[in-house]
Amino acid sequence: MAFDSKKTNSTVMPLEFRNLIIGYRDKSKLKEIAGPFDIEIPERKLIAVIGKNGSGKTTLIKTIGQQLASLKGGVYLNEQSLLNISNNQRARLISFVYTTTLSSENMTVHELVALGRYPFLHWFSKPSKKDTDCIKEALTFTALDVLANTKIHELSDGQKQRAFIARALAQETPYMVLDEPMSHLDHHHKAQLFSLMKKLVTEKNKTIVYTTHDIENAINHADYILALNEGESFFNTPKKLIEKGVFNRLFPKDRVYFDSTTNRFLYLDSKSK
Amino acid sequence: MTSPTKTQRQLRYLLLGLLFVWAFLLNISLGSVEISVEKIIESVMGYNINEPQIDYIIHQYRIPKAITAVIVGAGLSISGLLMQTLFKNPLAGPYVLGVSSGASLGAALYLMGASALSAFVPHWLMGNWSTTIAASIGSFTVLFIVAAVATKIKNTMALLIIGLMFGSLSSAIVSILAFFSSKESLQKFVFWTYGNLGNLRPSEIGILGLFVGIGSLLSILNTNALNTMLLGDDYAISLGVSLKKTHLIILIATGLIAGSITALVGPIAFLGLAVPHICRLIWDTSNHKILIPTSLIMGAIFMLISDSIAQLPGSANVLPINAVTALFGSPIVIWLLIRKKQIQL
Repeated sequence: MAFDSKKTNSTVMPLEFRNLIIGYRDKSKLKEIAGPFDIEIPERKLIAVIGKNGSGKTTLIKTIGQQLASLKGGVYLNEQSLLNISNNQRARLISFVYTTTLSSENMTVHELVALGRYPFLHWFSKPSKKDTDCIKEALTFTALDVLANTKIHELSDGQKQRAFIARALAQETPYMVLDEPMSHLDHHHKAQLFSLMKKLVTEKNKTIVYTTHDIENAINHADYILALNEGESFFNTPKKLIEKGVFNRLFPKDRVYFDSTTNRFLYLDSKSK
Repeated sequence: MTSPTKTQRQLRYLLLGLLFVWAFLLNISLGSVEISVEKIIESVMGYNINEPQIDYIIHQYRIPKAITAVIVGAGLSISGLLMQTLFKNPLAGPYVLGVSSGASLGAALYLMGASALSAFVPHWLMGNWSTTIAASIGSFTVLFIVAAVATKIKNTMALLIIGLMFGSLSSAIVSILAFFSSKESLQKFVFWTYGNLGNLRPSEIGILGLFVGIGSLLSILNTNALNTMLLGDDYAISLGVSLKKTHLIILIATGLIAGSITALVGPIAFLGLAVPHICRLIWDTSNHKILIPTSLIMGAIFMLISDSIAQLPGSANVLPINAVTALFGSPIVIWLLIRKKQIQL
């Protein structure tokens, strides 16, 4: 079936994990990492995926991006398995921000963001008016318009991260998947990025799935949390997860408590004290 | 530091165009006999009736050689650019796939191996075309193997290593052949490795033009996909690029270009590695929309000038073109790098 790009921003187009088991295929052996998941990702929400290293956060993102095949079940978009959706159609529905370094940073912010329009270009065609508008809009939204002609290698880590988000934004997809967008960022830039992500959800109707190590921030800012730990997984709002004692069960040495003076949840990592 | 403005870029394009015209005329004018630009223009327009020998030199020798230089320079540069982008490696060049090693092996087997067996090889097989055919068979065999491997694996690093292994394998066989071959046939092979722009028949120039043309067209058509590859495989996939398909197209384009050039002109090195870097430094970008056209023209200019120097104007001697490209090209790249202080793919 054809996806109408106009519709994608407004109508319901659920992203689901159906009986999904993620992991690696090593020759003929299967190495399960997490799952089975049966989750329908709520739309226009900020969804955090948390878990320790090796719990399957990146594996999940690679599975959504079709770089890794699922071991069982699948990722479904609008009732269709992603396997049956062409590369180009997928690129118009889900955009990604990875942690990988670029092969070349010798391009301007504008050039980087313009690459987000690739799925809408044919062969070597020039960008249309719509393309240029999208690029401009993405740059403005991320407050990068003043840096449009700056080279990527000249940006700070925070600016770089924003530029990658702008690139994904120019792709005009209803879903955005971000792998560890907060890593390497200081406290100030983390907060800035969070407010940008929230703005994307409320003003641009995006559904954002992101992985993070920062459980405290996830509890306080994300609408939903997918918690992964040694094959177990829990998906709910942060409040529900706390009520059910999920954090205490998953990370028994750590503590979560509500700090009434700052009016936010505090997460005490066992390693931090 | 911001990237050059539009007018700065356009000025550089204009200079590049003028430089190309100058290099083309210079190439035709210089040689054992120096011919003035007026005479060249008169001769091409058909006015120069008084000096048939000048007419002959221009039409039969200088112009075909200049056209060959343009095709070879442009082809090597674009295939070098393709390989650097594909392998995400600034040291990659048109020959990393091993197609030139294949061509060398083909030429060596013919020039040195066949001479040992000359008593058994039919005379018609020893004609003028044979070195070319042997080299073509060698380069396209390697291209075919590399392309077959590429359809099986996604990892470009493995391809790079396979290309290197082909290189080592064929140079090993070549040195064994050289050890056992006669002095004359060894000399023939060494001359072939020097590269020669001036030896091609019009039909051969046509074939070269066709292959390099197809390869360049494939690159131009994939400009946008090549740009996404600058972001790395993860991003390219997420933008809907089919990596296997794109890799295969790039390999075929490079193979056609590098294979046909090595077979017909010889293994001309350096240019393909250096010109994309020169263009990146001058235009200060990695955008293939700019790098593809500029590499094509810059490569042609570079080859025309190198060949003009190789002719040792005013003397009857000719230097090996392969030596000249590196001799005068390396300092330029080093100078540009020291000025810019950093290198990006």
